[in-house]
Amino acid sequence: MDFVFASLIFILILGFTAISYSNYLDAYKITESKKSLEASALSISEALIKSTGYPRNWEQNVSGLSVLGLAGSENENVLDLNKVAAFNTLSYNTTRDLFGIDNDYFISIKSVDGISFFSKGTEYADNSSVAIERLVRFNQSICRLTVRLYG
Amino acid sequence: MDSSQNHRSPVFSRKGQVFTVEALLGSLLFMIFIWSLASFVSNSKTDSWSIAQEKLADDALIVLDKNGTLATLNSTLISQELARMLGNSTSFRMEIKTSNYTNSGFVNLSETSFGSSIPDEKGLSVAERGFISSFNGSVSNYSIARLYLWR
Repeated sequence: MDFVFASLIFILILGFTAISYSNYLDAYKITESKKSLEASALSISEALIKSTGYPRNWEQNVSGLSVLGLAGSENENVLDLNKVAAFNTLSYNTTRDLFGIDNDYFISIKSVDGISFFSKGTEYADNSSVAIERLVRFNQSICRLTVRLYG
Repeated sequence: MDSSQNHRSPVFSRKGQVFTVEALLGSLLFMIFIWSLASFVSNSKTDSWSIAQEKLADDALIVLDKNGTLATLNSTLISQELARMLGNSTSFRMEIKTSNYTNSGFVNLSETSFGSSIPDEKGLSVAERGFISSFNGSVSNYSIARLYLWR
């Protein structure tokens, strides 16, 4: 009787902990995956708005491009019109390789008043996606550069 | 038969109690591990969000500086631009300390602050930026702007 009682308590606790462990493990995996995506999106946005790219005048010869950056020379957070136009001519897969990601992405530049200046990639509904917004100056306007990555 | 049962029963019963206590202790340790994991997961969620918020505060100050709004030292104009950039979901408070450089070093000219009152809670992002104001082509004032953001 004691053994049966002890086994019953043990099985109940074991079952409860197993379910809790499974739930937390799932939550942990989702959080870690989102955290990793957020870090990638933040890193891409940082490179785009703070760096001119490499070589610095890559927009004049996109075949030599090795690091993607959209900032004008010595102008963090101020995007260069020619670099944005050149970015638009690059193929989607080339840009993914340059960003070092396998995920789908969507990048847009919109003025804070809602006027759309640029977008690349396809935007679609996905709960696992993350978006990072950065404030920049582009085309004489204050704009939001959004980098969305899909899981 | 009876004497054998009487002889084994206390030992059997004691073993049952030991198993139960061991099972409870083991499960308790396991639950502590799971709760620690859950706590870590919820904390790591906050980290990536606060980094993005700090980047947003930093971006806002850079853009205000680049488009010359900060240098005007006009609190109404700066407030309007910040409200446009950040939208309704983000509140802010700005502090600007302005100094003049004389023969005896930096002299404090003014300290102004505007925006909403800073809430007494976590989730506050802060960015700081130094900038200069010019008058007739020469530097007239040195200022430090500190921007607080929260949701």
